[in-house]
Amino acid sequence: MDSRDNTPDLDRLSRLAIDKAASRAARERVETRRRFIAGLGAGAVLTALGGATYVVSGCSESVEPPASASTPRSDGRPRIPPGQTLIERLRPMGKAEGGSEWVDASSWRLRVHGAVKKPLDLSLKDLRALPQVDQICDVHCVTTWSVLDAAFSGVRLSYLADLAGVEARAAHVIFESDAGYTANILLEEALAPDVLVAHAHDGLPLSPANGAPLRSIVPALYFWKSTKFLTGIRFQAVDEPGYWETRGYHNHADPWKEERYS
Amino acid sequence: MSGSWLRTLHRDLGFLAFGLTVVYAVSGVAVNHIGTWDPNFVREERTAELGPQTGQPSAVVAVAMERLGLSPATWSVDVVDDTRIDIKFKDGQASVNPKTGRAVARTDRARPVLRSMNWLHLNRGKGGWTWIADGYAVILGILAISGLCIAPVRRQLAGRGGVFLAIGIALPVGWVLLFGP
Repeated sequence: MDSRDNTPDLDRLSRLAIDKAASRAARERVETRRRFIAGLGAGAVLTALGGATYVVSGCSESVEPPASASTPRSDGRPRIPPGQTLIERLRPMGKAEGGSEWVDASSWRLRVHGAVKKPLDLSLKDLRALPQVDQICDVHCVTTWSVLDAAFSGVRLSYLADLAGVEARAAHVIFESDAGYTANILLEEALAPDVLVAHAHDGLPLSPANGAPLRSIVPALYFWKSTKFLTGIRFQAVDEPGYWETRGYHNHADPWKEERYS
Repeated sequence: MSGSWLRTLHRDLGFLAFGLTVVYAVSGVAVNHIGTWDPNFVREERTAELGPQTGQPSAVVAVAMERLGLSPATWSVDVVDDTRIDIKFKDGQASVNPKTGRAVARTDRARPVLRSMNWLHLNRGKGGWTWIADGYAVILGILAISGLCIAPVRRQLAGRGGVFLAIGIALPVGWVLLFGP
């Protein structure tokens, strides 16, 4: 996949955000998606012309996401996993464990460490200087709600992994968050092209309730794996179940297999 | 099993459980309907067209905030590049593109009481609250059992009380049998 990117396309994403706010009805949401898909085409043209925007369609690598909620994904699975109900936008249930209401983004650091050759210690500015991706993807929460076409901007985790030089022995990734929260995923899933370290949602910086200033985005798994207030990405050889995984939640969290609880 | 001590226990535990019952009941309804409303925040999105801006970022931000109708006590500014300035303030974020003059803002104002209730109900704080919630669950169990054992109630189990008791048990059991995992 091409990744000639830099800053997120604020205007386009903000238009999406405003459009979504203005159109509450499901039919209008479909129209919004179609407008955005038209934007994807524009993004592709820009990329072809050496422009600044690259857009990936999120949960699958197809250029266009399914046109409607009932259209299957490119991998053949239904777009909405079993047991999920659609809602219009992310509804965070307040701050995450230990998350700060008002974070000082200028002093925030993201460590990429563990089984890597060159550990990274990045500021938000450093992260923004890396190739950026504007991504549309679906979000599935273990509490049975799903949001389609959520827009996030950030850096691919696979790019950070390449920068850090992940050692061959690494098989798992542990997301580390403010106040000790962690979540674990398999390395091969962490390196999927739609896994991001995101700093913006719907064209604006992440809100505190959504994990500002950084959160991971792992569309293929239930959303608790998409760690808010991200401070570290640790690669390691052995698995290490995280906060929820040690409290009865499933270690893997595949929405299509309803891996909610262990 | 009867006696004034049982009634006293039932009554006192009922008083003790009152506050938590209100919290869990209100929050339960609020969170149940998350599909149709946000039980924690009231969201507002605004947009303004400023026209192309050539001034310093601070001046551009001042114009944008004024045109967006936002006047938070403090805010922080992050100049991402020459097409994007991000602004963060309590309860919200904004962003302005100086070249196009387009400014957008999103605020998520917390519903203070409900959000606190939901925070408690969902045990987001963890720590000691886990023990309090466990204690509340134990109290509810004692209330349910002691309520059935108080003499006047016990006598009603053969009639109307028994019917309601059966319905109360049949509802969750039947629902699981019909629609459960």
